[in-house]
Amino acid sequence: MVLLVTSDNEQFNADKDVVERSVLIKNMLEDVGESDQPIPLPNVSSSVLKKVLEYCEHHRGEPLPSADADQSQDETRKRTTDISEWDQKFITVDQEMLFEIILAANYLDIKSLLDVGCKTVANMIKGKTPEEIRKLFNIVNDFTPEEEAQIKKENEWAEDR
Amino acid sequence: MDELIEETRAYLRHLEAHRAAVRRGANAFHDPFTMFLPNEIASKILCFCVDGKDGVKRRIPLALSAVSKRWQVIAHSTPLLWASIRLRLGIGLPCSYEKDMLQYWLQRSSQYPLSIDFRVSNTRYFKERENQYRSIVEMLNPHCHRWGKLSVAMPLHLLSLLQGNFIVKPILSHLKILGVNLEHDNDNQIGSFNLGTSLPAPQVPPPPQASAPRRHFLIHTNADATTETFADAVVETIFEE
Repeated sequence: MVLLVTSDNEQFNADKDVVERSVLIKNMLEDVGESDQPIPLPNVSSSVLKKVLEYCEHHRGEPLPSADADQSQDETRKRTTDISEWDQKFITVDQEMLFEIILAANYLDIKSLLDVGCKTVANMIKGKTPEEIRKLFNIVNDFTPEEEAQIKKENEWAEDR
Repeated sequence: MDELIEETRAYLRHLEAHRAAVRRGANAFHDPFTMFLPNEIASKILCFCVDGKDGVKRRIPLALSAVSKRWQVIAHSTPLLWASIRLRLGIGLPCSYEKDMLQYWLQRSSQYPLSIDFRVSNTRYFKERENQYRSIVEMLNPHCHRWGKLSVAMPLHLLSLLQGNFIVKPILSHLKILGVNLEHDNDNQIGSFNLGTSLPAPQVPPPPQASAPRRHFLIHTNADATTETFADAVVETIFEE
């Protein structure tokens, strides 16, 4: 078992093969060797780590992408936003949690979870107009009139294309 | 009076710039892309918005870069969004638009491999616009090392303007040529598409009878990015009835 300590000082015990879905933790364990010392995760809160561990537990035993495979699959990964049914249910969380999971996955280096998070946000964005995207993320239009004019011109290129 | 109007205009521009800056500040606290995500993750998300089908609609990267200034910066620095180029000359937009568009796309796609779908239609404007068409076709040549997928449909004498070189290793994995027949096309450079002076060019039979308006030449390389020559290319010629 491995002991993890979150940014809000909560402690989590998890199986080694579960936490080793995280390349960061895997490397730490390899560097430190056998030890009872807790692993501090100052960039991850307890609520987020709970979700991350739920993901790692579900995907326990699945092969980790190798560095080479990752490079060669990079194109493919970028080009599909398909998400498995379980992952879709897992990632159905509020917007703030979704972005925190993405950040945690990035920090912990869990590529598959990072992809699920990014694909989920991409699916929220896809097919929407700029105004609809602004509403979705509570963004205001911050372009100057000159910048707006340039955008309007560029958008004329996009007509029917 | 003129002076007063000019002063007022200048003040208005100042206020508009100030309003934009205030809104940018507000977005820094509202927009999760600004609040949470580092640039590389935001960029990765935008890449997933392009679903990977060849010939990505132009409106997708344009819409993403029209959300806010921060989104624009991220979109413009994400080459994949701009790596799929669709050009349609002879229909719809004026040539100057297409030229500007191509320039932006080539610039924003940086060194990313390109997927190009380029069509020139035979319309009554062809003769008067031919020089503009030529200059647009030639804009692609400095980027020949980035042609990953190339699908072109144009009169054959325009096709001959596309030139490759041996300076860097080619990455072309798919090539599709559709010769567009022009009534006034007496040029016999059919199939003169050239990817380098000593590279094998597709061998094309003599022009068929007038009833066959178009010819397709499909050239599939071994679809391997490491392809160094076209010696292994499989050339398939299809005649459309």
